[in-house]
Amino acid sequence: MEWKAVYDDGTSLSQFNEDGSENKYTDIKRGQLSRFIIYHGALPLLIIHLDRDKQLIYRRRVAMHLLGSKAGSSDVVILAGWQENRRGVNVQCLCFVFEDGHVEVLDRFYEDVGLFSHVKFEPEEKVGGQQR
Amino acid sequence: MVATFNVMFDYGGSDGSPGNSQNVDGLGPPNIRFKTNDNPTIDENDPVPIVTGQTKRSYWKQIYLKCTGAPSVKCNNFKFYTDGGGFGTGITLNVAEQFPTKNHGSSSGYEVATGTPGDTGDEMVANHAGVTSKVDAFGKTQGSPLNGPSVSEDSNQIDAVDETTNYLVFQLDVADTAQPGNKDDEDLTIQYDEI
Repeated sequence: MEWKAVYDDGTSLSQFNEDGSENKYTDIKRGQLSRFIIYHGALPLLIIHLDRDKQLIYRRRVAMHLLGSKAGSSDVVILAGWQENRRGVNVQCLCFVFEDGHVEVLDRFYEDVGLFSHVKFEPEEKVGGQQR
Repeated sequence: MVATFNVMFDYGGSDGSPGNSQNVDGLGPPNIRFKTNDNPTIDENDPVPIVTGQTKRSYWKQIYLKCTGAPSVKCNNFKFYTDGGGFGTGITLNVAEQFPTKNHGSSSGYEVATGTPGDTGDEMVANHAGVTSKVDAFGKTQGSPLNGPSVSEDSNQIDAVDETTNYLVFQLDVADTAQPGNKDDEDLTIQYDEI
């Protein structure tokens, strides 16, 4: 799965350029971001709509198996969503995209479900606000 | 690009300076064996004996991830968990709650595993300078993971080839209630976030 950031003026930044070179998540111009798209092959699988108040969150969450029946393999979940400070309250919308294509949507991180546990926020992702 | 890692453990050598670094992919499956000797060989030698009235231990193992393909930006938020199963009555897989220092430039947290070959390993909390407490690894599940291994590379993140996590230290305890024989594999997992 790959991502593409679409800006207010219609231009975009894809994770991979045509020459195979890669743009970084940190290259995204957040102040101009209107949509963040996760592609599965050529097809858009998930589109996150954003505005100035919503800060994009994106991670590739990997479970690497050290020992046991799945040793040497990894399971991957893509996290894409946003958070904003809405009148002092931290509001989140988090989409977890699984390898089989299904998507689970949460309104916050959950520590008691490992796949849905907190990320370590990048400075540009932070918005403050009281956690619900 | 997508990050890639090898699962490694160090053995031999001296404190702070391991003699060898072993990629577990080259061993199995099964690719890790807890035994009463400080070597990586997957064989029937040096099992942990079952002795009436005693608890015998494997030599401890110091496991870490080593980056073989760099991420686009970074990897962090490493967590360890198991399937919550276990190796059966009388057998406890312990994991240290501390993460002795291991990075691309230093193995200062490394301590040579010690004990009596074929009999027992020395207990890790009492004998490993970087370990002060331990928990049952199978009590650490996806919903209640161990928050580590930590990372002692620059900025406490992995962003380049050859960078590593700190050590996860494991030791198997075998009480006299255990049943003899090779045990089935159990699932041990490290989760991390990548951007």
